[in-house]
Amino acid sequence: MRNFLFFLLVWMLVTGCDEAIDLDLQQAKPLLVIEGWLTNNPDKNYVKITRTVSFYDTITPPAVRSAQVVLTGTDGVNVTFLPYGGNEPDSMAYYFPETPITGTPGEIYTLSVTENGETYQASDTLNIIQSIDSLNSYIDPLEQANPADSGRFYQVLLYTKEPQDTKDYYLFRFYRNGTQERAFPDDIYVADDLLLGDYFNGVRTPVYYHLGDTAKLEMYKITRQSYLYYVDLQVVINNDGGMFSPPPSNPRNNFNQQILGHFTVASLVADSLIIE
Amino acid sequence: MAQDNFTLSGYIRDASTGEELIGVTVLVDSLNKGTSTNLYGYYSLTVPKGIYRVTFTYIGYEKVMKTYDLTNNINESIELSTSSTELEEVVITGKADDANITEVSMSKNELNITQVKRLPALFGEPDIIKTVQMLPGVVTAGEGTSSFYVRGGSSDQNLILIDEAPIYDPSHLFGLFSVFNADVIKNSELYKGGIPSRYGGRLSSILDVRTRDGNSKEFEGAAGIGSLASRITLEGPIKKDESSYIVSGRRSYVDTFLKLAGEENLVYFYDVNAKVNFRKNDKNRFFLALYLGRDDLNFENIFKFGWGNKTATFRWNHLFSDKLFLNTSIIASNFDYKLGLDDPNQGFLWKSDIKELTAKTDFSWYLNSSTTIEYGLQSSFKVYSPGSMEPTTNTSVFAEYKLDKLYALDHAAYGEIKHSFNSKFDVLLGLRVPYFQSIGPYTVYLYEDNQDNVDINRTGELNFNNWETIRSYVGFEPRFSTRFMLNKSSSLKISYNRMYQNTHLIASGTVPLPFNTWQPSSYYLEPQRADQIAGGYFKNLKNNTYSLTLEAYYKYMHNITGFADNAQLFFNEDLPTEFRQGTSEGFGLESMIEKKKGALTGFISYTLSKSTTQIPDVNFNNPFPSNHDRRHNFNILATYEHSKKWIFGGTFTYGTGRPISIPAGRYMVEGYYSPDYYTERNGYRLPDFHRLDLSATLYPGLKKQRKWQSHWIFSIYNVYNRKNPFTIYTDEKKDQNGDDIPNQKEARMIYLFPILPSITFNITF
Repeated sequence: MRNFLFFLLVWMLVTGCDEAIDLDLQQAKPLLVIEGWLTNNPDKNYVKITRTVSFYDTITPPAVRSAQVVLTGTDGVNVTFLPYGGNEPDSMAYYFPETPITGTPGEIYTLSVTENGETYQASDTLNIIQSIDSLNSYIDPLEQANPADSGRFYQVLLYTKEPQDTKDYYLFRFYRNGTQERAFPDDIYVADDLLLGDYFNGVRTPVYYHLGDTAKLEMYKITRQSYLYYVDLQVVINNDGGMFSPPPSNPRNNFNQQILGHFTVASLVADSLIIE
Repeated sequence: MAQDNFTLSGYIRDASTGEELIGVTVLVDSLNKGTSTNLYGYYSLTVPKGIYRVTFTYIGYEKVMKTYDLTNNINESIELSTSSTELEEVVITGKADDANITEVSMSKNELNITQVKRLPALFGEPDIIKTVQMLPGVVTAGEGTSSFYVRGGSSDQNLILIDEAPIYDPSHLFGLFSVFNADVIKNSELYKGGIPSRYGGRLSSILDVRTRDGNSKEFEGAAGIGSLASRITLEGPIKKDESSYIVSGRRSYVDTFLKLAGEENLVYFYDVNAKVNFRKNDKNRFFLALYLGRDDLNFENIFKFGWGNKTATFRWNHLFSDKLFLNTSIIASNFDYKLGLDDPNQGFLWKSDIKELTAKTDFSWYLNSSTTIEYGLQSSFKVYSPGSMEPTTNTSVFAEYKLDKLYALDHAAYGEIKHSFNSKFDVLLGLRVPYFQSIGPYTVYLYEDNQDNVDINRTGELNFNNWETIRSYVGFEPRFSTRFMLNKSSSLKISYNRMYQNTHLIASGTVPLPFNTWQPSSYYLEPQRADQIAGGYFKNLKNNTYSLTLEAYYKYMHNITGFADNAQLFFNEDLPTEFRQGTSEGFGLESMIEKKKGALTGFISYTLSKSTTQIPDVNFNNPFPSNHDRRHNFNILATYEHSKKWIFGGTFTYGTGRPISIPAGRYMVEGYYSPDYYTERNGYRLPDFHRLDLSATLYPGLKKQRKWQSHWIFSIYNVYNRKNPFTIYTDEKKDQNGDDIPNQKEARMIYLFPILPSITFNITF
């Protein structure tokens, strides 16, 4: 489907032009945005709480630092998350667990956030993930002939099994020399296994690398609920105003009230490769 | 005392081509009674014994007057010659001068193909759909699309027929052009309300396009070279006055432009229309018509995309008697699209199609000069293949996968009586009964909650064998029209129709795309229904030179198919959990002044309309403006015959902007993405749309007596270079280097066509 939308975008840009216009917008009440992450990797767990801003505001969405945040699990975990102590503006909205936690496959985790007398709750399950068999590098001949960035035409190939007896949902993240990269700025790499065979036999991943770069790939197994959140997010980010794509709407999430964001529980594996 | 009645009947044809003429007026002067030829060019009129003068009139043709001594039944086919003054008198509607007021039917527009060819056209390609989009009661989603929206209905509610075969997607190049090649069109009519009982299956309109039969007297040809596409048409008799053929082809060459731009891309479309017909005698006629059209897009030989329609119509017209006319048709239609990626690791080919085979019979029974009865039956078998995917290499990550096909039988019976009580008062009363069955083989999944598209719990399944009925739906569609003549030049009309639609478009954008799929009414989707009432005032002025039409309508639609917010419509095995059927309501006022005779012809129309939709779970269950709700629409369309050498054409269109959802705010997630946040659907409007197009047609060297004639069409699209909104999207605001400015977003408007001149060269031989 993404291919289609990309294709349509290309079509519209071939046949049309665009220019900025001013929208006459109504002021809307700010809404809470809660993002929570719990994985099998203790370094990847956090909660971030912000609020929406008006469309034309030129400020960072404000951090909410007064919330009570508690994570509980069916494995008996009960951890409080505390606001980050530092004062770097980009980190103000983060909450980290008091003691490190590692999610266990098969368990259900619940996030409770209390802010301004209201409690927002969401639950998600940690699914087991297969290991990555290997990564390999590959020269894309088309990119080599006409590279967007000089010398960057290596791609990483992924080899891993795809269990056929379970319904699986994946999220991928790609890093170049430690920085997360995307082929197109608004890409989100999620997949379900409906159309997938039993083996990723060297699937080309989207980011290009230079000789000598360190490529890292993270593969997350997420639940259907989380998968839908990311798919919806991708649709709303890439929306064309409802001409061909569906009319834009907020992503579905697992909170028990009408707020934005999502609580994602995932198992993750990672592998890296130096391009040579 | 029993009166002896006799019948005068026959076909009416064009004297130079042998083409049957649709809608020719036949009038018995002394009785002031008349009829008109049907869709196959046949008429029948029963009057008491006597001597009568009968007039045959058809705009653009010489009037024929004949005197008959009706002491027995007379079957005589008449040939009409095109009027010698044709160049001064352009045809606007194909009927008698005052048919618009005297006919019982209303809410109907005929498209004159001669005029369409003289109007300015995008890239010089004449297109009837672009003229349909200017008619009162019809709105568009903007420019560059072949979709249209009739009286508050959405674009999937139009039944588009070419020689009786349905076209599921009428677009070429995503709607820049339509599938209708102007060179082969004989007659096209748009029914917006008071829809005749012989039509059914869609809620809002019928666009019935009929192609020409081919010249049965002599060979002729036509060819055209345009800026984007070229056409050629050949036609002639197989056996003079008995059988004829017509073949027409059209191909675009957009790809050559892209090649010049240095891209190894292939983008093209083509159409082929072919038809043969055979008059065994005046009692039996046979036709076979084929249409084949396809778009192929290929990007760097990696990404491939194509779609197309194929239709075939076999038709047999039979006269049981002078009074009973039978048309029997067998119709096949196929729409498919394909999408593929050539890649060793991710190669795939995805296909989807919809096929149908229909048999139908339509009887016209000309009971007497005041009463006509039409009745008929039809049956269709439909197969919907929502999609199948296959890997194209052994190492592809993709597995073979198929969504189950859906099967349906679609039957209908109808009857309709048209009666003139006196010279003032005509009534048409009809009933159509569709009977729709979705049938096996199919597996219906049962859900704990079929409205929950996140946490899907299947609780069981129902398995249906071949031909076993899954669900059947019967409908009763009353049709009613009446006409009351106020005086010789004005009338009032009222109509009501109910329509059911059992074919549902699975798409949630405003404009349908070739890779949308369709589904039949079945276990979860119920038939969509529309009720429409319309009334109008019709007046002709200055000896039928001007006609004035005022119409008002109200339409209520029930069970219209919509989808949940964020619905996943592609490759979803649990698609029923996304279905949300709701209601929609539309009302409007349409006015049109048309000038039908003289050097200057054309129309001015203004429509005031409103359409709202309510879909469960969407927009917090509140009604919202329909995607195509555009309050004001104003159009001017004109052609002017300056001389035998020059003909000028112009169109102007103005419309309120299309509704659109715009953000209430923005936020940030993952420390990176800044999505918009929405509180309301379609709460905003795009800027107004307006555009002026002009054209000039030049016939050089008219004086030379030679076998071939040529003409040039010069066209300017968007004369004053208006940046008309296509859509609005939002994005991160960029600095001068094209890099994102953090924490700033902006809205951007896409507009399509700047001022675009084009030249088309046409020859006829």
